[in-house]
Amino acid sequence: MGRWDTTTAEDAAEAARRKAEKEAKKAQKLERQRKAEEEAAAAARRRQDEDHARSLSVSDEPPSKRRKVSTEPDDGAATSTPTGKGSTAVNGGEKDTTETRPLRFPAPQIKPSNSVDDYEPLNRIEEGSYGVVSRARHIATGEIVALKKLKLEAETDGFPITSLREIQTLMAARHPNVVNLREVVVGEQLNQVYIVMDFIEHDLKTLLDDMPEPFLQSEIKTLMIQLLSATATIHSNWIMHRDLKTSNLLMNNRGQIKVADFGLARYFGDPCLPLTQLVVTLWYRSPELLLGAQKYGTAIDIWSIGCIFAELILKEPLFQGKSEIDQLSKIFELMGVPTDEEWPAWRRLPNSKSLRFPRTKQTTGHLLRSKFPLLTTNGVSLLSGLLSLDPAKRITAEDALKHPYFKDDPKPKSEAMFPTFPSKAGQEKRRRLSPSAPIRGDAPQLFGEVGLAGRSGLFAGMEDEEVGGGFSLKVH
Amino acid sequence: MVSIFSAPLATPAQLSSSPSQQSGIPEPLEQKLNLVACRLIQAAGILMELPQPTISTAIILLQRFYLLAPISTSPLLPTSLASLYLSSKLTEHPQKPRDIINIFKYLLSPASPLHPPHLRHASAAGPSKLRNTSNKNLYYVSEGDYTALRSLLLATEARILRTLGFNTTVHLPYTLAFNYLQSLGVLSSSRSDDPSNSNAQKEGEEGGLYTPLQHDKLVSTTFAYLTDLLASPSRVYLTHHPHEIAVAGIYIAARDHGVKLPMQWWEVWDVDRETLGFLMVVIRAGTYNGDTSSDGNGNGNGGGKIWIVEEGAFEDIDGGMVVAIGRESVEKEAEKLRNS
Repeated sequence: MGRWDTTTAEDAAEAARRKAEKEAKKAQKLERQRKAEEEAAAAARRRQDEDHARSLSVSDEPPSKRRKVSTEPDDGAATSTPTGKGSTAVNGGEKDTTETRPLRFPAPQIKPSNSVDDYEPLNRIEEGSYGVVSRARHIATGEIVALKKLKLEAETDGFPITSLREIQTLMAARHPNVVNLREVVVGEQLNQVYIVMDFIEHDLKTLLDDMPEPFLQSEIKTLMIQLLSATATIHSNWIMHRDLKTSNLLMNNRGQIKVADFGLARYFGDPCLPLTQLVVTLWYRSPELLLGAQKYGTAIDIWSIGCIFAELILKEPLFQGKSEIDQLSKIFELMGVPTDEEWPAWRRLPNSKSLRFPRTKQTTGHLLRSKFPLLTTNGVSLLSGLLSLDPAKRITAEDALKHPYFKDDPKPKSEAMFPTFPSKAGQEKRRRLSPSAPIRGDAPQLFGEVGLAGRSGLFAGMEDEEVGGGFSLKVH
Repeated sequence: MVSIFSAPLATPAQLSSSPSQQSGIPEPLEQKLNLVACRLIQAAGILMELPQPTISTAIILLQRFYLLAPISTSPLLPTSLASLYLSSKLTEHPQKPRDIINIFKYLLSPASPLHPPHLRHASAAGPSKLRNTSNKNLYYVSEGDYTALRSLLLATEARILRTLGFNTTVHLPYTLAFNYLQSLGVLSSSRSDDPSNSNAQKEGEEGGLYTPLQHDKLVSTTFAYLTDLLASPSRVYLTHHPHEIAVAGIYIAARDHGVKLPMQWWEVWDVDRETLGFLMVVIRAGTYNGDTSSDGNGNGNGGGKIWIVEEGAFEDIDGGMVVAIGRESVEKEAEKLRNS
């Protein structure tokens, strides 16, 4: 890649060469200086001294190597070459301009799965309908990991397509804010398969529940940037997550969130094909899915992100519907009833026929301003972009990252400045919030998977169910 | 972005030590079986109306699997069934085990075009001399056989997955080749980006470098080479990245059709001259000795036919050959080759 525009490649190479030449000169100068100097005791001390000496001695040209504090965008790889090795860099640079060198692409090895015996089980974290997650230690390295055992005993059609998708998409979606898939290990029986992931201390749902105060605006901005950039990468790899929610966002003690649980994720195409509309946990499900759209795209993830954004501010889920109909009416209450101008295609969706809403000035248009009185204008603008009823008008993850909201004060907080929290999953079993894990049929108003099994009828008559629970805390 | 260029490849050590050969199957026999597996999967895929990417994925999975598992313990038939079953799921065209089993049964029956003609009469009339079974079982899968085959298929699928470390990433060169052809500007002489419309649009227009009919031919010839390479004894899909294979396919197809391409155009896609040269040799070598009709050149006809039976004797007839894929037959043939 990157050879489409030969002129820029050459320019870059030329620039690198010039930079490297400067480097070499400076290196020689420094070498002389260093010899004159007394040997400093500690290596770290010496490097500091060099920096001082250099900043004093250099007057005719800007210093090409500074401390990491100063960010020079054009100081790319060239400056990172250590002093004294400048001459080799010059050779490399010149060679590059005369002769093309094809890029070499890395290829992972084809190798069998390791045994689960490489890991020592510690404690069970959570049990869901399609797997048990436990904490384990890699015996060789001592590293703590999360081990997810897939439930394959009941499978009649071999390895389930959903698990194939989960592994494939997790392998493809490498990003600092996506949970890292280490490997897939196996037991002795053919149906013993475990996904090994980095162990992450918290999930955002539990954190929000336990925090006395909500996140600060600066913290929310950092979290949103992380979530959006992970989602942008996932989407650009032709993957839809289809189950974004706070309990699927894990958080470590270094201020980083990791998108987890790709159990419903899959590849999509353009043009899109009919897919199952029973995806995404109800509270985070977009209106087009609720209205029965069979062709949908990445906009469904964006809607979930909008719900998560609101939840970070409110400290509780934005739309807590008891049923699909209730969910829709809660959405329309806040975001307004869809109009033909606002969402031209909505009347063609299967479930829209049965809906009647009064369309007056009072019912159309969103009420985000009054629901979020403390949010800035740009914040409201981003939220309304994420929660646009019409999926075609919903902002993309890529564009959302460029939204002025993130440039406003307060600026996004540095990850290192985030507070740390005691881990719930670290030592003991996670506290379960009221109705327990998503065992099929147990909390059907929340779990799309139930619908996948063709039980959407269960959504009827669930109005009396208790609101607010049903989340399982997933660490994987 | 780079991920489509980083599918798993075999290491030189893996290529030099074949588990099948270590377990006593001579290299020529292994190559024959590899070729036959490709033919079977390709034929089954076509009969099931599966898209070529699904078929190609199945073949590549099978080749990766045999890089690490010997044919003697993982026979060809269940492995082919399981590869196709797995790839149909991976490429979002899931098929039922029943359908795949039925199709393979047909392909190995006397009614199949893959069945050796000189045996067809003998097999079809009266109880087979090769197998002590009744005649009707040649054509359909009995309930008992089906249950056994199905559980064998599913177990083999699990075995393939764990042998490959669950890394089922397969990137194919077809779309890359198409993009490269478009970028080279040989698919359309006008600004039209959609080659499917090019036929209609180009009519009456002054052709640029190329006429519309040849555009289609260039694409289909390129794709044919890419598919042919799947069955090559060099197993280049295990050793080369998809972009390298795509460039090789374009290079040779363009030469076949006399299309002029810019100087050293392959460097744009990070392929060096040596790699391209090697792939040329592989393509020109065809899929097996004596088979010149399948290298896409059209020169050489008659010989090179491959017939497949489940159990039976390996034979060379009229420049073609009969290959048996059943475990017993393979063992017998391996022993014969070892002793000679």
